[in-house]
Amino acid sequence: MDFNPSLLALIPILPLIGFVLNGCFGNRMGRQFVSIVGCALPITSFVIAFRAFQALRGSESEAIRHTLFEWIHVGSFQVDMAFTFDGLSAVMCLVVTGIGSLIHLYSTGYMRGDKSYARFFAYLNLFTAFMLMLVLGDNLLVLFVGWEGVGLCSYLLIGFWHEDAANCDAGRKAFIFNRVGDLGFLIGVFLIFTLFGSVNFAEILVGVESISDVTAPASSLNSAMPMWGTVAIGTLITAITLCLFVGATGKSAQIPLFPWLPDAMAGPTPVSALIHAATMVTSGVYLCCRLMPLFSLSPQTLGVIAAIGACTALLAALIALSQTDIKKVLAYSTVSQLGYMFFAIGMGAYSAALFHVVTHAFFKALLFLGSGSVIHAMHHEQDMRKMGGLRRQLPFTHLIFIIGTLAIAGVPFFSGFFSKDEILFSGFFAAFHGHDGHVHFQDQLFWGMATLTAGLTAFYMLRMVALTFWGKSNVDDKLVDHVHEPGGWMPFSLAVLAVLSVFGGILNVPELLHWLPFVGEERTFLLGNFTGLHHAHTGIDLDALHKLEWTSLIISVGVGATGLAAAWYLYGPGRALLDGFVNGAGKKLVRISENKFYIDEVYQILIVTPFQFASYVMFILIDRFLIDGVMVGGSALVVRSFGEFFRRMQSGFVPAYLLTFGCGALVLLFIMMSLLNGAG
Amino acid sequence: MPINLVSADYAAILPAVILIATGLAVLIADLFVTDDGYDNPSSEKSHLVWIGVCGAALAFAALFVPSGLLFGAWSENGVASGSEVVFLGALRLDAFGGFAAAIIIVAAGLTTLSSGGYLAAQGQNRGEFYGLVYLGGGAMVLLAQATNLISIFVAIETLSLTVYVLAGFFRKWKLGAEGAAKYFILGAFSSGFLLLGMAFVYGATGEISLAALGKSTADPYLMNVGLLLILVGFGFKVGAVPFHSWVPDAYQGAPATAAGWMAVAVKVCSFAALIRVVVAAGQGGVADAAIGKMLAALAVVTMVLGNLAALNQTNIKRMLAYSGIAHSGYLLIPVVLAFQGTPDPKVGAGALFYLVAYLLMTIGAFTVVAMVSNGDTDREELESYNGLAKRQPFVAFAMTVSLLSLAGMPGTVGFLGKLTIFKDAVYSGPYLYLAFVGILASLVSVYYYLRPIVAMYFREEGETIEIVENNWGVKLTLVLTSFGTIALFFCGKSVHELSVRSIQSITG
Repeated sequence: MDFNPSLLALIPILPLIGFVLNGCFGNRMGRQFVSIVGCALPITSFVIAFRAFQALRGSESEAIRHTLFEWIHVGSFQVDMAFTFDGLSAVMCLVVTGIGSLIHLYSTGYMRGDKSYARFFAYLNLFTAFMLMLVLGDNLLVLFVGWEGVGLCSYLLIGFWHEDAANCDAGRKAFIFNRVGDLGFLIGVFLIFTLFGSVNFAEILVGVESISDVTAPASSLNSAMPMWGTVAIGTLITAITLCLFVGATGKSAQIPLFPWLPDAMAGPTPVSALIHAATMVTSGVYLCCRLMPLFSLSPQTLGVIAAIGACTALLAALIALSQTDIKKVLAYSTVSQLGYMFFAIGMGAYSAALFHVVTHAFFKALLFLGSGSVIHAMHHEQDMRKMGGLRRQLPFTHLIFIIGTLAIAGVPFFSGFFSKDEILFSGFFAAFHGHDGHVHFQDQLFWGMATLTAGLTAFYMLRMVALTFWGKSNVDDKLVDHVHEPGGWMPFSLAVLAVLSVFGGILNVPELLHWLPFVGEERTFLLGNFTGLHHAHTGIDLDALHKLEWTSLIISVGVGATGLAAAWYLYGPGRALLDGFVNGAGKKLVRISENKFYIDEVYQILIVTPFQFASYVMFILIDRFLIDGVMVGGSALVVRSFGEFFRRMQSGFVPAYLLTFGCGALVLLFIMMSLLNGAG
Repeated sequence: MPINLVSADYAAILPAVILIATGLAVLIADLFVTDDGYDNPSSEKSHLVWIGVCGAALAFAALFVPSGLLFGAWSENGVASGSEVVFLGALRLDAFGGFAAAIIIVAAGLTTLSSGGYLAAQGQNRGEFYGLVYLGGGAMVLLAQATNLISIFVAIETLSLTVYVLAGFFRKWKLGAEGAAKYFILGAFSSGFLLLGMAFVYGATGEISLAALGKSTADPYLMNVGLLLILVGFGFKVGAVPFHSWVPDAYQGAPATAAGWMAVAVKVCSFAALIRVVVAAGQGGVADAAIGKMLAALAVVTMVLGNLAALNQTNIKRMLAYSGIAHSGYLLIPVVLAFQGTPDPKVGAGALFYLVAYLLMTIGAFTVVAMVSNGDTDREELESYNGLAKRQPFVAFAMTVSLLSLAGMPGTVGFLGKLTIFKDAVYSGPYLYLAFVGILASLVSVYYYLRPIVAMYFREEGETIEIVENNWGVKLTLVLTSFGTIALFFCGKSVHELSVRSIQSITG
């Protein structure tokens, strides 16, 4: 199929046009206009992206490229505003435009009554444009523009209801946490440039190949950087990848930079679904996948990533156990699932990470939009303790939640099952077989944490369903009669996402399960093969591998089932048992979980308070005293007093004028004569 | 020695003759009885304005007639025009003189246009004003063309007499009489320096021609000291620190439009003569490099002190006076470079171009001052401008354009002028520091140029401001100066090229 490469540029530009139109004229043109512009342009982007995807699949070439214009050209440093559409970009692009479009449609219903309707769609379109720039960028700088752009949109949308100061604080928190990560990211980009002499992905990967191929001369590296001569290249690569990973922890909410994400739930729910679940927060994972060969060169970095991922997954799951705000549960669940993805990257299973990005986008967007329907129905009540028994009034939403929960819990043959199983298996393989034949204790520990997380995930998700939809109703009497199912485009978006959540796993079925209907031998690992990220496990024969796979699968399904069963029992027939535990033996544990392991408080004491103190000192010393006082005030004072001095010298008396004149002339003459004598 | 006048002689003095004839015509026309009765100083006397403007237009046209001063530079693309020594070396017919003359003539026309209504409102509209402007204008044009010491001195004295009188034109006003008297006394004092310097130079070379400045001489020491004394004399005329004391007092006491005339025209012809002197001296190679250093020192002191002293002024005329001093400082930079001949002999063009810019923005600013004061000399304080923009948006706009141009903001011709001068200084090598000082000084100047703008746009009106309204001449002046200030920013290139060709006519 023919595909004009210049159409690639349209994919991010169309939503940008939407931003301009809605931003400039939205308020005057009315909601109809805003809805049509706001939704039609991302959908068009999706269509173009899909056509590009088909073209890519049908062709032999690895990628479609298009250079929009030469952006920066200084000496040997050249960066183009260029886009690349390869397997990885294609997957991300389809997720962003596809799910993005569904969420845009959903928003036409959810935001119906909001007075800043046009502003909302303008921001949402801008976000889509930046996100597409991020995933399509041909080099790190274009990616960085998108990276910062989505951060900005995230900030704007978290604080969308800016009349409430708490929302603005949440926006600022997100922004500041991201700034910390961005600093790491930037340092990583600088280091990459010094090492490879380029920020272009293709050129970086060429450089990486020359490093991994020890026989080749390191000519493609930046030989103009002799200062790296003393530093081993391996160390430098570890530094680069760690810096980039710091950036990823900021954007993808990993330890230690995760606390902004739960607070980000202050934004409207479609925003939480689009930005803080399906797309933006996965850009850290995307970055790692994009530079996979580089990350693979540093086992140290991969170890750090695995550790951070596993710890984040477990910690967030533990916090999610006790949350009472429906969106907070989902937020911590997102942090936890992102931890899974990084755990997979740490294990070297990039395709599993990307696969989980995709399926997670399906079911988490579904769950968020479902929670949006609940919140919408409950008139912006988010506390699950004030819900309960909603199954009767919201049967459709209840079904949505069940599907989402089964998917995220990894119940067999739902989408989450395949991706989570692949991740857990990569951990299992490392823990009990070993990539290099050696088994490491820390790998076993990480696998244990990840598996435990799977059980906890199933538990807190079903707990959420139970509290919201089952049992007796705690709904406010005034609200009870108004609770209703959503209308308009909202059920449509939910239904599409539900179908994807159920069947999305078909994208990357493991070879083990090739006998499933609609799969077949030739359709295993579709996603991994298409993106080129899939790596078969080597050094083991097929039968042994299958044995390991089955073991891992049974363990993970078993753990998930245990979690579900426990939640079903404890929040149903065994409620008394649970209450006994919460008010008795487990009181302190519950308190710790409720308070999010006191992370915010620790940050407050360790970072915020010293920082505020230092800022205050700086403010008084540098700003008030040095800049305002000495420099600004001082220079103005000096200049003005000079001015005043000369004003007074102008006494008005002619003799004084004559004296000035004469003395001036005499001084000139004197200097002149001495110069002449000196020369003579 | 008999003088045989040839056509070049007539062509050379034609603009000056027309200006002087205009001055006489105005004086005669003022004798006739008009509708308002005989010599009513409160009448607008539009006929005098008309005669003056027509005379200026005629003189301007005379520059461009074949064999006229600017004809060569104007018509021959890029080729330095031919020049001729006329009147036995007293004057020279060249494009350089023509360019300066053009600025002076335009200044005379604009001053005439803006003065009718203003002087009438003051009750001081007497024909002598215009007569003095045109008689002085003739002398100024001759100064711009003068090429020997005698003609320079005669021209300077002639034009000085007219501006002394203009400075004290409001003779019943104490400040006016006082300023004029100070100006006169200090002027006489400075003439002494000038004359002494000329005597020294003559003593060293035995010749009165400027060309002699370059010739080798038996006594270079005497000649250099003589040159310095001549520079002191010119320093007084242009208001360079420390010979500037007269400027604020004279400008404050003078009628606002006369102050604009003094600021522009006197500066133009003095700088023209000064550049002729330094180019001749510099090309000869006898003049010591110390002369350049002295000039540079004058430039630095003038830029810095002029701007600093302007900071705290509350009277707008005094502020503009100090601003004029500061601009003399900027203008001394190309003079230094022209003396040094670096980076190439054409650098003096920066001064010519800057003077065009200075003409537009200064006349514009003083015209607004004249309109606002409207017969009341108390209304020259800064507070009088509070809230002007609400009642008189156009006047406030014209003032803003002029002040921004004086401050050197992009979008105005003042920016291009400063850019040309500072760029030349940067490329000159040894005088790079002049550009730094100049830029810092103009940074300071932004403060006081913005003060009237802030007053006009952001302050509440204190008292109702009545201005000289419905006077076509004043309005036309403001339209022309504002338009010119902005338009020349966008198409200043042709003017700059003309200035380069003009300077080539004296540097070769």
